[in-house]
Amino acid sequence: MSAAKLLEVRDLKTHLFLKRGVLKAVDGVSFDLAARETLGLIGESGSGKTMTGLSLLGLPPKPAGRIVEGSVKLDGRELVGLPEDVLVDEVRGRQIAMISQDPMTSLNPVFTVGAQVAAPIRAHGLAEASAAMGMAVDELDRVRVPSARERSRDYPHQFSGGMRQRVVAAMAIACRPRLLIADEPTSALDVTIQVQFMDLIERLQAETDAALLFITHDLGVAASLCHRIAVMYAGRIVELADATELYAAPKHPYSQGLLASVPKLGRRGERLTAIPGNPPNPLDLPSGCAFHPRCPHATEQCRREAPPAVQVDGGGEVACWLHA
Amino acid sequence: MTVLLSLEDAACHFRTRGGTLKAVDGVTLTVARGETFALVGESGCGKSTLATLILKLNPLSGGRITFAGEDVGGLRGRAAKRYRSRVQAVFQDPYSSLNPRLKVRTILAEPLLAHGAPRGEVTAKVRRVLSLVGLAPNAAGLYPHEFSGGQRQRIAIARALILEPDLVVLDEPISALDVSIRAQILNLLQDLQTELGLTYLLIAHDLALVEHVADRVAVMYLGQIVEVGDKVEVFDNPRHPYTQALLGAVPRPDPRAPRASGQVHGEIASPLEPPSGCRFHPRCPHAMDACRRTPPSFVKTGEHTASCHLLAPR
Repeated sequence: MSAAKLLEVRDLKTHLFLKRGVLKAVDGVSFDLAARETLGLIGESGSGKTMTGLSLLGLPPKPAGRIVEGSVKLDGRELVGLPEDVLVDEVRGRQIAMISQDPMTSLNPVFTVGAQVAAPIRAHGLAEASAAMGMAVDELDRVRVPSARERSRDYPHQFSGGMRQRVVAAMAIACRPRLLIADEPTSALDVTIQVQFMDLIERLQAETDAALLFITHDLGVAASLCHRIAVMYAGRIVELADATELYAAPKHPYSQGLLASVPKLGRRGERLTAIPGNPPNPLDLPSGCAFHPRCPHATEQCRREAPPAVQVDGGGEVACWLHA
Repeated sequence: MTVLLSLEDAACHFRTRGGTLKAVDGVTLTVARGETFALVGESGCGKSTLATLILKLNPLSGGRITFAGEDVGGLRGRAAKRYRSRVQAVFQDPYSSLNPRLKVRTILAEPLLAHGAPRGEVTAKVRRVLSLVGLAPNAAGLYPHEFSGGQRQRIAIARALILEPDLVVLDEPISALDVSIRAQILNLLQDLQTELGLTYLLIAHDLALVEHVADRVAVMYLGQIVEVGDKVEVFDNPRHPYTQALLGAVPRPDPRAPRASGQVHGEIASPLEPPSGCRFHPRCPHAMDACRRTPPSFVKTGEHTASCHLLAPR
């Protein structure tokens, strides 16, 4: 994408300081994102995807988590190190909003959904109470909650899972954020509802010109939504490429392993190629390249030194000694 | 083919404050010895409740279940216990299905002792089943929390196999696991089936997984089977609009593939008030008058059956 960079993340490191040691949840992550672009962040649980998303909002888990290094620039403005009140007033929910996996926990059960969608509009001073409620109804309508005006007076438990996730989406876009972070938003939904939600999120993005950071472990969902994809392993991006390039010709052995290990529709009877071993213990990462104990190509160098990210053919970046 | 398990008009109803919830409402199917029979459908369709009927964890509200020629519903006492040793289960989440306070040795020995195996045989059997699922013998002395998710699922599989069952119910056996180790567990399950001649009843929502491992497939919607048949038939030539919609909604791990499409609108109805006629009609793009009025009957072509008015001969 040659479009101007909306978001620039450079060498971001978020560590959790636990009694048992330092957990390097995000350990040197860099990527860019343009307006209207969708970047997929894929990887397994514990690879640092969610922690990357939370770090962009300045919300690493308290008290253990801290951004220890790096930079996050939105429209050229540095967000790392901004005082909490500035983040609250100007960034969270205003410029960057998040949709999380479980709509039941991101909605407050004792407020009507209308009040909850209106809350960010009021908090950011975009409208007074009564006008904000009207705007909330418009947003609920925009996410296709049927009979939005009547339903805005209902409580979250009166909605189905798919509809609740729409309400969360309405809340997220209410203040027209420049960047939308969606963290596994469809993982709790059934496939027929998932596809409806994917259509919705694409339409919202087009209507609001937002950039989308889409966090998922589902390679199918990522392929259908994302322009570019970053594959994370043990707190780092091991490969970042155009989606078509990544799926057609994955370069990092972990990306190759992941793609070979998922069953695909229409390919019956083939034995899956499993990645050997287990995901690493985040408190005790392997030396050098964290993937080396599971990698079929590991050499002595992989055990000693972490590989740097380098540009490869096809325009992507790979952190692997095979390509360095 | 030898029939191992058959269900005739099986039902499981629960009385709730909101009325009678018909979780399973008239399911007929047969599972052949040695095959993998998959039940697919979205949450709330009744597939897990159906499994509890087969495992005798819930009583039948109607119909009949037959296992190796015996009427399962009528089994009591010792016969019921023997049945339970022949039908075992592996559940979705190995973090909640293993008792955190027991060592693996005890977890695996429990079913043996409950079914009266002599104590002297237990150690050897535990060691054998551990090696069968690819775990080292010293695993027996550890607690579940000392293992990763994939290894825990191996322990759950070992526990299911230690009584040498005929049928294993696999209820979403890989969906709680990390993506990179799902293939390991899937390959293990397939190897064990070949090695031990197991019959699998696989419950899953992931259609790509089902296409990969199943021999036959049944699609459930609101407590009923809407389509059942040979896997190749069902996936290549889905006949029920719901099966077509499910297959169309699966996102492909290929950015060049046509985008998954939402052919059905709305959401699954409440099983407390299932729609009249065909239960799928409020979401069906082809719904006609007949669909609202009468439940469709099954139309059979070879080994492939579906219940839809579109398929009825005119």
